[in-house]
Amino acid sequence: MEIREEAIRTFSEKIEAMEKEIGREIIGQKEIIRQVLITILAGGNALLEGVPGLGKTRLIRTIGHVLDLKFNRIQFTPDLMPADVVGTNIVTRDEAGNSRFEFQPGPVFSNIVLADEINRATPKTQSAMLEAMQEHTVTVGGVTRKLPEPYFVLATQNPLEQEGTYPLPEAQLDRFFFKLMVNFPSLEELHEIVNLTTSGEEQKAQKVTDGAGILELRAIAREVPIARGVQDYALRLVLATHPESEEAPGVTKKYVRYGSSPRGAQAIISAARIRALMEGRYNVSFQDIRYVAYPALRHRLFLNFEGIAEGRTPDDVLQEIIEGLSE
Amino acid sequence: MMKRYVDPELNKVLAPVRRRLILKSTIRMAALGLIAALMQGLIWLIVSFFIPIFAIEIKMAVTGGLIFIIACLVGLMMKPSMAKIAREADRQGLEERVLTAWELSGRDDVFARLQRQDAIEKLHSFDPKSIDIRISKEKWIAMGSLVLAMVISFLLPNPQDHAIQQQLQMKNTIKEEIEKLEEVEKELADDVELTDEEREEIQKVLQELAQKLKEIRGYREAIKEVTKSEEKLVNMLRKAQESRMADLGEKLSRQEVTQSLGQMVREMDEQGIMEEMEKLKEMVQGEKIDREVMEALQKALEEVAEQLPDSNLKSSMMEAADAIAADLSTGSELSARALEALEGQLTQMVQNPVSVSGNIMYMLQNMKGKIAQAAGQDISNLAWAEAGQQNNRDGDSGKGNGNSSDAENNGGQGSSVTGNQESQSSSGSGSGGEGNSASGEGQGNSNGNGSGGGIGGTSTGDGQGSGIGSGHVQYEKIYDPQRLGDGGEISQVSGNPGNEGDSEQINAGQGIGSFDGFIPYNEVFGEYKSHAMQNLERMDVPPNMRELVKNYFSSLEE
Repeated sequence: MEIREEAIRTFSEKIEAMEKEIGREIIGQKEIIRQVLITILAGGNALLEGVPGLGKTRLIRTIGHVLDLKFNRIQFTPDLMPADVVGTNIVTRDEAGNSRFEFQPGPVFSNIVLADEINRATPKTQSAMLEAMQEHTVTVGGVTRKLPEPYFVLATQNPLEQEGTYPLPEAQLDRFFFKLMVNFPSLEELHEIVNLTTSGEEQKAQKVTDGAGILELRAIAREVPIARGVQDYALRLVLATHPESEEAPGVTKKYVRYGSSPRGAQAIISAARIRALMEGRYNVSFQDIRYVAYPALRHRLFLNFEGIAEGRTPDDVLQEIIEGLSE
Repeated sequence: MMKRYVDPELNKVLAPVRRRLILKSTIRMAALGLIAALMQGLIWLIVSFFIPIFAIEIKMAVTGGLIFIIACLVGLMMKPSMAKIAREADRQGLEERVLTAWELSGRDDVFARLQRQDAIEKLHSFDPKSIDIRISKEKWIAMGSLVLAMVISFLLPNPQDHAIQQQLQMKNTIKEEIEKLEEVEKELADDVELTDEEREEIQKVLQELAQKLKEIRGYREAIKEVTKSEEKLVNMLRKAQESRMADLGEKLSRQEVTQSLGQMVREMDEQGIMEEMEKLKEMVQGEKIDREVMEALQKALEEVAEQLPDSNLKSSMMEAADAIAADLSTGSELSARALEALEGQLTQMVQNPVSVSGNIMYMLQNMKGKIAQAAGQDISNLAWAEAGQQNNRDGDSGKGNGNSSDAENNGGQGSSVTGNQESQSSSGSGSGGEGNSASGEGQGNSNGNGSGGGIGGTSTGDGQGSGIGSGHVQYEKIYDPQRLGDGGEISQVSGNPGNEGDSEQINAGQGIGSFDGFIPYNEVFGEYKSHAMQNLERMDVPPNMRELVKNYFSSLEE
């Protein structure tokens, strides 16, 4: 795809317009909105962690609307089967009365899929999402089907009710481009939320772009230049999450069991490129790397027993690593 | 490494940043240089508490100044790399625009162009003064701490100050002594006793000594060098004297009348010289005067004297020749005395080959004492320390007194040449330790006879001497000008001139042997002490000062 100069120059304006429109329906959560957009533009999937009622579903629906993308929601439960997610072959009769198998697509066949409370489903069902998330394809009955582009899975999980849940395995977590922490809104934001949702007429977000537009933005973002020194910084940051690495600081050696996979490095660089454009820059900065490092690495960093016992979080450890890393 | 291409426009807009960074690195290096300079100063000060360091302030200032200047120069010469300039500009809010633009300098795609334009645009509005060139707080703290530590070190009493003062005093003394050496060197030009070669040799030795003294740091080395020079001079002068005597002997041998004397002079046989001179004296006095011999002798002396360079010997020889001529023409009897003086001159040359350089030797001896004194050391202690061994010596000195009785009546005139001593026997015992003290005692006896004779009368003189021998360590020799030439007292025998009477003269020789103006310290100590005590009694000296002087001599005796 040929990149137009005009498209590059207007990249940040488009993002700004998207954020503005989403912001009509979603109060606060600006960073979450931005990071979800980064994930979409990078072609990745996001895992949102937060208590119920924070507007996760609403966010996804709004994004789908603003980006003019098809949106599906799957509520994950323990009895959800893989076929319920990806679809299945069912027996149908044609006009002549002959029986035949026909593929009935599951809810994953959409541009945006909200996998709500993904950790409540069994690992078997969770793993049914793997191919869709990584390859953007679904294979049922020996036939592989492509999912529509752009394709984006946004999974959520509730950090509170852990009983009867199936925590996502490391391999599946690694498939998520970002893990986003949805915090409770502030008082002011709550006022606005209540006012918006309980009185008068709700403001409706307008469509800003479409699937093709997203794909063009995605292509532009892939071309953002990054200085060798900045890329080196990002990679050293990833290496610093590995306790056995020479780059690892004391905090990593003390609290980390496993560090980030190379997907973490890919996620950081891709996300930093998009963030740079969002900021109106045509190059990646160290600050971009630091900004995207938390959502890109927090679910790829596995604490050891000591870290968990001392109440450390991946974000704490990442912060210490970043603070100790020279540019 | 290949130099990366830099977009000219980018390079141009980065020039002020580059200049600012050069200024920054200069200031930074100057601060580091100052810290290093202060640190080295503090190290000097700390070390000075354990080792005496002369002129520490100058050393600190020079070394510190050099470090500071070098640091500033290094800072000025350190040209920042393009990567560093880019990084520094980016740190001031340009968010890696410059670094990326620099790396993309060779590219011309859409993104590279847009990115470069963006970077240049931002650089145009960039104020290089936003790059902080101030010295960091840590450096200020380090400098302040070092200055404080240095001030405290300066204020603390330094146990090495006394040693430094002494060293300083010693250096000043050495400087003064070098000046004296140079003066003596100049005075050598007027010394008629020395040949040009000898003068040059002495000057060379003195110049070498002066040079070494300038470079020397410790008093021990200085004293060693002075001693070495002394030894060199003594050896050199002894050889010169031998050669001079051989030459003189050769000249005298050519004359028939002084042939035998020439032989004795050549061999440096003191006794022989005296005997030969005695014979000559007999020829020019008494009843058996032979005018022909006297004329021959007068002529011989004249001829030899003419061949000699200007010196006391030449004067004595000329005087003797003139006296013989006077005796021949006027009948006076001056020849014997003149010959006697000549004999004295010749024997002294044999006995004391270095007497010609008495001033120099005295000065060198004195120099050692002064250097040691300035360094707070006792020269005698140094001598003991250097010797560190027992060394019995013969009781080889004594003091003799000569008495002579008048010739009965004949009014002759006589004199005994020197109160002489002759060491007859000696015994000694002593002990010495390894350290700087040793003691011992010795005994020596010397007896001498002196006699004087005059014409028409006889006179005899006996000299007896008893000496306290040194039966202990070899003391440092010191110069005693009072004793130059002899070791006894002169016995004068008066009488009336006449041609009668027998004259007998027995020369007992020199008691000390080859006394060259230098004698062991212990030999004069008693005399010096007694003089000091007498003077203390006579002079108006405060009681505490008397006590001080007494204690001083007591301590020397211990």
